[in-house]
Amino acid sequence: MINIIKPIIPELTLAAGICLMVLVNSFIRTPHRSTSQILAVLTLVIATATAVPLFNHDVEILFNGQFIIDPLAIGLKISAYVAVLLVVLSTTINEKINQSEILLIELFATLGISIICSAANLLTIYLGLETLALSLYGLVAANKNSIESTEAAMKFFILGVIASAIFLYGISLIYGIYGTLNINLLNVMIVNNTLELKIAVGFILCGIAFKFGAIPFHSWVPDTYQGASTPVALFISTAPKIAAFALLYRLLIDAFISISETWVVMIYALGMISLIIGNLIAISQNNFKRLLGYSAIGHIGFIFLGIATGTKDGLESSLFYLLIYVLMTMVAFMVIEVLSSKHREVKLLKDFKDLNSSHPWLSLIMLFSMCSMIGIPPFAGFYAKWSVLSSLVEANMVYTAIIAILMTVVAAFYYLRVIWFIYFEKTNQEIGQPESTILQKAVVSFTGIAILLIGLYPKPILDFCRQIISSNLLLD
Amino acid sequence: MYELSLIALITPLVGGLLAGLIGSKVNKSFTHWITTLGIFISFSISCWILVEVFLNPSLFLNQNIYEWMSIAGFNFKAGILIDHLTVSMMAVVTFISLMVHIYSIGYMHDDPGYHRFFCYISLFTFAMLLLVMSNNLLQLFFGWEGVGLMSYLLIGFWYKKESAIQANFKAFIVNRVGDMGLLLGIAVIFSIIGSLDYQTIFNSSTELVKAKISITNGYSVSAITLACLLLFFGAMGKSAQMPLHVWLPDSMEGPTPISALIHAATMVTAGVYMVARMSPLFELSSVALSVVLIVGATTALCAGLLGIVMCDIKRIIAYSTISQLGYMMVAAGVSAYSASVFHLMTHAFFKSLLFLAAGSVIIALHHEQDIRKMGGLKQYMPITYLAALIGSLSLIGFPGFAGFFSKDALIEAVAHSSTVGSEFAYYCVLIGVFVTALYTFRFLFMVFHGQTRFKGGEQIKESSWVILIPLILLSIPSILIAWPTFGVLVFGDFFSDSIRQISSYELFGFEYQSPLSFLIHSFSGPVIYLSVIGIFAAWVGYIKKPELPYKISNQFTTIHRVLVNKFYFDHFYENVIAKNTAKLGSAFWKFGDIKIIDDFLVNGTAIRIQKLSTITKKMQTGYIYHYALMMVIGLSLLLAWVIIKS
Repeated sequence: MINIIKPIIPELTLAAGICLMVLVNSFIRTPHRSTSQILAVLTLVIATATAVPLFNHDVEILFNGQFIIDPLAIGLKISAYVAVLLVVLSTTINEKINQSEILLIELFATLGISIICSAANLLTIYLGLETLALSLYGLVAANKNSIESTEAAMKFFILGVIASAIFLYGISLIYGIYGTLNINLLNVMIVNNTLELKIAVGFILCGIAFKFGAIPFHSWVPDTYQGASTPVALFISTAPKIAAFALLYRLLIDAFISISETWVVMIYALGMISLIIGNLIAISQNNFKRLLGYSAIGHIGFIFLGIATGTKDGLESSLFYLLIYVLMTMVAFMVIEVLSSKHREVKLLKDFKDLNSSHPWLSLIMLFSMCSMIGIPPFAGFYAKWSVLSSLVEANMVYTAIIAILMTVVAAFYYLRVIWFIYFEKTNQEIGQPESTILQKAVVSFTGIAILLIGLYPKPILDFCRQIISSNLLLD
Repeated sequence: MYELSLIALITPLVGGLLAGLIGSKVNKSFTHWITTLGIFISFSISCWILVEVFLNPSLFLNQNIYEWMSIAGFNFKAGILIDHLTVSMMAVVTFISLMVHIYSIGYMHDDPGYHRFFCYISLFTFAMLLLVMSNNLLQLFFGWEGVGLMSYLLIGFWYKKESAIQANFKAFIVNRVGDMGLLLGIAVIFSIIGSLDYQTIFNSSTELVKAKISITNGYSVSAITLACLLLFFGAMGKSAQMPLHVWLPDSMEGPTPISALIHAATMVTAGVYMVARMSPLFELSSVALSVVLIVGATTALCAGLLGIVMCDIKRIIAYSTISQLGYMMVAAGVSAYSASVFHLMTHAFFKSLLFLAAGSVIIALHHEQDIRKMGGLKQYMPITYLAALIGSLSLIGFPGFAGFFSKDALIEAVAHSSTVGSEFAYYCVLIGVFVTALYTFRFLFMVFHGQTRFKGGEQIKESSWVILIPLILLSIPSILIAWPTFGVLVFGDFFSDSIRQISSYELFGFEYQSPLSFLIHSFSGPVIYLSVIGIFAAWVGYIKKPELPYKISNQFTTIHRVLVNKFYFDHFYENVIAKNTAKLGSAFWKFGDIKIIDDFLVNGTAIRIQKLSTITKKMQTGYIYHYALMMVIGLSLLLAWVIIKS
């Protein structure tokens, strides 16, 4: 019994935690914020702790081929849990929105991510995907009193449903052709690159691109980042991207590796467009959260280019880039989360004016994050960019690498603009003392310093990514 | 010894940094104590090593401290080389530096930049030690640039003075020209030998001789000649050889202790030191030696002539320094490196003595530097006068003084040499001896003798003891240093482990026995008589018949004008080179920078991207059906590509 349960203990923990939180929330009328937060943190810590020993577990397929345990699944799960843990720790109390509700839905979303990471069947994947997507709609709409938030949620929901339908249609095509949804079986069965198969892959890829927020399936990203409250935006911009990577990997590599020449081109095209247009639009943004949305699109472009090399190196560097991206974005959102008070939300670029004189430490952390996003050594972002670029060059895609570098220069403009506002603009407007707790500040500082430390010593994270990717025998 | 020499190198750095970083937060006495202590430790260690070396002549240390970087199979290391040449230089540099530190406590006392000053001179000493203690060309270059930087900062020490800023700019630019040569010379050596380590370079110097470097099609030069000429070009910049000498007179805008330390005793001799250090290479190229000889001889004579017409007390000594540097180069040119280095050392003592004495006068007269407004100071400042007299006698090579031995030895070597150009050089240095005596005693007579030409004579008094002690301490070696060391250093084989030089008999043409015999021997030559005539001429012109010089200058107006205008070097540089370079630069700036880079590339790109951004931004309309449409178009395009492809 214990042997059957053991591989799914993380998911079971999450489910149990969710149930407990639902109970607590319904029995305690005005739930104290910290009750939910402590519960959520406990759940995530246990889930992480039980997932870590599984990392070196043998590859195992459970439940009639529905569920798989391999380094990829466990590695991404651990990353996602840690990310969510940091998000939960940095979430503030805010009377406008019900905090415990947000934490609860975030745990639901985490469960969805977890399922996607371990799914070995297209149906399981879809199940996880919908668990995640529905939670995200709820999260964005959580700020019920805000028109902006409701609008963003509505858009996100409708577009999400369309994307979901497209994805599902792709799956149904696959089922129609091969009569199975099992990924391992598909991998064996797909030999010829037929037109129907290609069309199916095209549909599925659209669904994946939507999850990542690659252009032209990106429209929800800026609106949602801007509309959602900061803790929610913080969540949406981080953990679900890890799920999207798992989704992409399970489908494109595990199932469709034999027709890689088809999807490589598609991924390349999507990546290129995202990289160029995302960064271009970001230049003329004045809202910081929206700017981060477009910058995210640009970063996704980088990740896609890494995948488009089709090599092991490329995938490793893409995963590394993704993890570093999650860290950097997290820091940026955390800083504005910490700065915002009950009465005032820091969201416009000009709100950052002269931040340095009132909050030198937070300014420094923001500087770390921005420099890292530009890719200035010794911050982590430099190694992320460098590893993707070097794998591009090794795959003989030198011109692509050059374009990527040029777009990095463009991106440097708007990141540096943030730094400019923080350090060089003068203002008489006071930012005011934020109501953040010591815990939040500690988490921000920890994450910010992590960017620097990883930059100085990137080897452990690089090895982690290498171990995840190299476990796959399908890649040469 | 390795650890000790490392300490000797580091203490000036530590002292300088402490003075610069926290000095102004503590107080003045902390600043001068910490820096002087640092130099004192360095000086003591240098002396100790020097004594060790005298006791045990086989002492030698060549050790790498650490590997700095490793690129494409080439290793660049930082290292220490302690041989007899290094030790002698270390002792001289630290001694003069110590004297100047003590002197500056009095001289700079009321200056608001007190901490900055001590920080700079300590750091300068560090850079100079780095230069002389290096065991490879790269580190030498770092030290070279370090002393250059400190010299720049100290010339412009009074940065609110317009002329000081111009002077430090000039020094910096002229030195850049020279440094370019040095760097290219190092590059030539590196490209052929593949190492910058002295030992490796000297061991494989035959490769340099064999290698040819083609300048244009069909015309090539020997690598050794090219390398030596380029290295010497670097030395010309740093050691103020004509025509790159123009910065040194202007550098007198800095505080006087700086002129003594940097622009007389140590930094400007770095070029001479480098030539001596590279003697195994220079010996292989007769062309380079001739160039060194001729440039040195010309400088020795012409700079001396300019010294006669200058009226600024410090500029006279500055031209004298250039002239003496020329003498050192002449000695190097006829392969008498030991004489060259020995003259470097004696010169360091008597010239810093002269400068510090001049500084004492300047301070007493409240920063008056025009010798026409001095005179008769002997009775007011007896100790300063005595110091200046000793310095002057040593400078002109009065028999028995330190300067006499070094200068006479090198003139002997020139007379006996057969290097191409040595006859020209011989006459230059001989006339130079007369000229030296003339301008030196003109300076001495006009400042200390005759009528007083300044106001408020009653208030003039001797400087304080912090200023006088260095003068006294420097007077001693200015007189005596040659007696015990002359034979060993110049005629013995003291430098044989670092300088490649033929035997002293072949070099000087006679057998050396003792300083006294050398003294007697020199009476058979013309040098002593020439300097006596020089003194006499100065006495006639500036004591006996003061109207005579005016008559002469009226008689020979053209020559006088040429001299007053310093051979028009400054005019030429300013009106021809600087102006045209500026024109060229401004043309590049107007067309290349503003038009192409700024307008087209930088701003142009930015503006275009900004425009593109505004256009693409319109994609995000906010209408959900537009978003959905976009997704559908995206999907259609993907599918269309798939279908068309198959």
